[in-house]
Amino acid sequence: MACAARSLTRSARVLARRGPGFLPTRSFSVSPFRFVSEDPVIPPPPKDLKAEDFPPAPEYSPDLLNKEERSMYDMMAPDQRAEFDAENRRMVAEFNDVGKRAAMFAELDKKVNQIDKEEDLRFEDIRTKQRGFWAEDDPDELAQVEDGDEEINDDEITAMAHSEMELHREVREYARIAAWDMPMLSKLAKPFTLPPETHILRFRYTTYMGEKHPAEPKVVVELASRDLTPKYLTEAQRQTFLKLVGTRYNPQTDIVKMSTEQFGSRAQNKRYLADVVNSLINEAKTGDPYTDIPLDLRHHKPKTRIQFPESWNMTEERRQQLAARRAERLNAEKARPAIVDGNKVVSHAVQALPEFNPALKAQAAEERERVAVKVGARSSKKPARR
Amino acid sequence: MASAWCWSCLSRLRPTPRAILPPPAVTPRITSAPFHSTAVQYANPTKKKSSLVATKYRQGQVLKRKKKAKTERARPPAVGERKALRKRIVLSNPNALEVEGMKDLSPETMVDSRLRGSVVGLPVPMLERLRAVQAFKPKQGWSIFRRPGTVLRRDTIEMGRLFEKISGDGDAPEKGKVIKKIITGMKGSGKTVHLLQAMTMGFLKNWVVITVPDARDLVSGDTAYSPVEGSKPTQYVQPNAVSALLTRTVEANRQVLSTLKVSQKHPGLSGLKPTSTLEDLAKLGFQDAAIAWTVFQALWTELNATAAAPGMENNFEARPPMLVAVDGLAHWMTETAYRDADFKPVHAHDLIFVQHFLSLLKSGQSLKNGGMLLYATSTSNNPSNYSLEVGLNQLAARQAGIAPTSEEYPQPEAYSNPNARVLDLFKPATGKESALELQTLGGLARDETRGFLEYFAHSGLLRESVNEEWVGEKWTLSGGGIIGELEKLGRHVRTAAQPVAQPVAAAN
Repeated sequence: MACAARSLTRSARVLARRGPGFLPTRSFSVSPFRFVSEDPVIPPPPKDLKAEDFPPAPEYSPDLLNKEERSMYDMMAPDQRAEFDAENRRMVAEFNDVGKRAAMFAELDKKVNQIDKEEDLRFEDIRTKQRGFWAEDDPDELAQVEDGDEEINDDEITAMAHSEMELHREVREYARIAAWDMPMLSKLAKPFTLPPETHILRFRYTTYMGEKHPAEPKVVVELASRDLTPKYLTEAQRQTFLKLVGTRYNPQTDIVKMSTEQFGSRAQNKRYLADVVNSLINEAKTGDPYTDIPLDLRHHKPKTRIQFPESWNMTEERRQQLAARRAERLNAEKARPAIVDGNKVVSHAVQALPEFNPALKAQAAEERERVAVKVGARSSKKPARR
Repeated sequence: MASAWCWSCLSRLRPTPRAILPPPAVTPRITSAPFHSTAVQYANPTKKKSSLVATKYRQGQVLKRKKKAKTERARPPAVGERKALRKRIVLSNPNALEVEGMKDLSPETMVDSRLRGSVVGLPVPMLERLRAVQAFKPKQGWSIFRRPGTVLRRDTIEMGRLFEKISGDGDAPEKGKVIKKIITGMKGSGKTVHLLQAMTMGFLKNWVVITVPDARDLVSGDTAYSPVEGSKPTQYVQPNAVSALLTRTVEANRQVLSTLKVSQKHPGLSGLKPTSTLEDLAKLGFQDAAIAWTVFQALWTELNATAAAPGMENNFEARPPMLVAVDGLAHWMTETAYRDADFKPVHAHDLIFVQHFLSLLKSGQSLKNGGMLLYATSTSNNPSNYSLEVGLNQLAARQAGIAPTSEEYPQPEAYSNPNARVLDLFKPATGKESALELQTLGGLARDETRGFLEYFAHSGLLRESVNEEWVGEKWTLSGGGIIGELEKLGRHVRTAAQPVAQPVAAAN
């Protein structure tokens, strides 16, 4: 079998060597032979147009300007515009004059030639060291081949400096916006008016300034429960409503706050919240009134902001009042017989009381002794008791 | 190596004679003449000290430490001595100056509004009785004055007038009425001293004074308790506490009780004779704590009797009004430290002693012969109690004229779980007469402050000139005349710089 196949291939090779002239009667493939198409003809490079070949430029008119130029043109003052128009017309006229155009082109060519002469430009092709055929697909672990970025150019700034520059550019961009565009915004400002009676719900959306954030579709709704009475709910129904909303109610501000982020988009979440509010109102009207359950406010810890009482403010009137009262008191004090002075009390006691005054004490002792002599008829100088 | 032998003479080399060699290096030669005539001796080489002592061969190293020498300490104070020192009440200080012209509290002075703001002394014979009812508390500052005295403030004079009216000097319409008051106020506002003044007035007017000096003693689990048989829900009696109460009452009211004779039949007390006095009756209780509660009940019915039982009329005398003073009411509104048989805490209202005194607050003529119930709250050792707070707020609101049906009437907050029994105490009275009142003690007025501080100056404690400006300053500093704060300001001992008399000659 193998021998047969070899003999077959050999004959095929022999046949193939003879060239395409001989087509074998029987071949392996059924599709017809086709030759490679010839390369397409490369068109010759376009020749530089000569000065005479250019079509004449259309006559200048502001309508021909493109969009950006037109907006700049609109922002110009009238005298600037006239100057701009004149300059453009002159340039078009110069271009359309064939002689002048030729002279201008010749001038340009001359200058280009001059630059070529002055600047010695050579484009050297630095050949990288080849590692050879066997190392073609291997990573260059031993760094045998020089990298292109080995060369350090001292005149370039670093990447960090580039980012710093970028930052600076950004700052300047915003500074430009602040200086030029933001003053225009005041034209768009509208005076604040309170939301109308019908706008009870307040929705809050969050933007993360263009950044991606999982909480971007979150929507928060707030409503003051007193806004619902008496148009939508009676007072009793409002109490039921508050019992239904539970911990979402803040009794200090009377605001019910709910939020959702269960849907992928803001509009869906908003729709859902509005539906919840509607169904709550509906439930408060038609459902169980829960009159047997007191309103639970344990979730709320009241915040007391202690403020300086208005009545304590020192006004001119109050000052006079206090001064008058003080004067009255001082007058009343003058009417008193004496003012008690602790120091005087003590110094008086020191002089008057025998416990504190040794002279008085001695005197008292002497008197006592004298009495003792009289009554007891014994010498006062007794020996000490044993 | 050269041999040590001399081969020519075949003899060993002779050693060098000793005398030629330098002396051995054990002691260095001293060349100069020494100061000492004794031989030089070197110190012994220092021994290495170590706690690890190497022991003999094949024995482990043993850690030997010196034991600390026991120092003889003084014996600790005997049992109860420290407590006695802590609870000691000193009512006099001989170093303080005696205040001249200080009046005593008497039936005349206690209603004299001219004396408002002055400090009046407690009558000296009364002090023993006041001690007996434990009217004085430690740390009240009695020990800095020569003798105890209290300031006559507006509330005191009003109370004095009430005493006079209830005692019924003349034909006052209030004779025999019951006044029920709960006394509150800020810390240091003088609630306990207000009770003390009331007790003094009670003694002065010959009332029977019954006090519970500290409500906490009954609920802190310190005294014995036992369930009352057949009570439902189970109530508990505290025999030792009742016995102590009887002792206090007899000690303080001996004068009154010894004159009153038993007028009712008490089948439970066999040792009682028809001729015995109420003092004898009460003594049965503190001789035997087991029957103390029965005795107390008997004493209570005797004191509240308006007429004698049939057959005992011959020695019946009209009973005097009563003063009941309790301090630290909040302790009676919570659960106690006692446990019931199921090991659940016992509420204070289940203690029969407590319940007896609290039931007096309920509407009606709870003291048949009139009198006064003064129940003070405390702020120094106080359990926080929401139910009591609400009850007191309700009481205050009712007193301010807010109807219990109105919106503004304070109600307990939802889910706060207040105690219904406590709130019941403060329910509005059904009858109009003798409703529960709330008296809130505030600060002293300015002139009262002045009188109080002058008392300090007169006692030699305060060495300042008590003028209007200074008094105003202290009044403001004390939070508007809170008397406890004023006392702190007054007792600061400050030695004012005394002008020293310079000899004139020395200056020249």
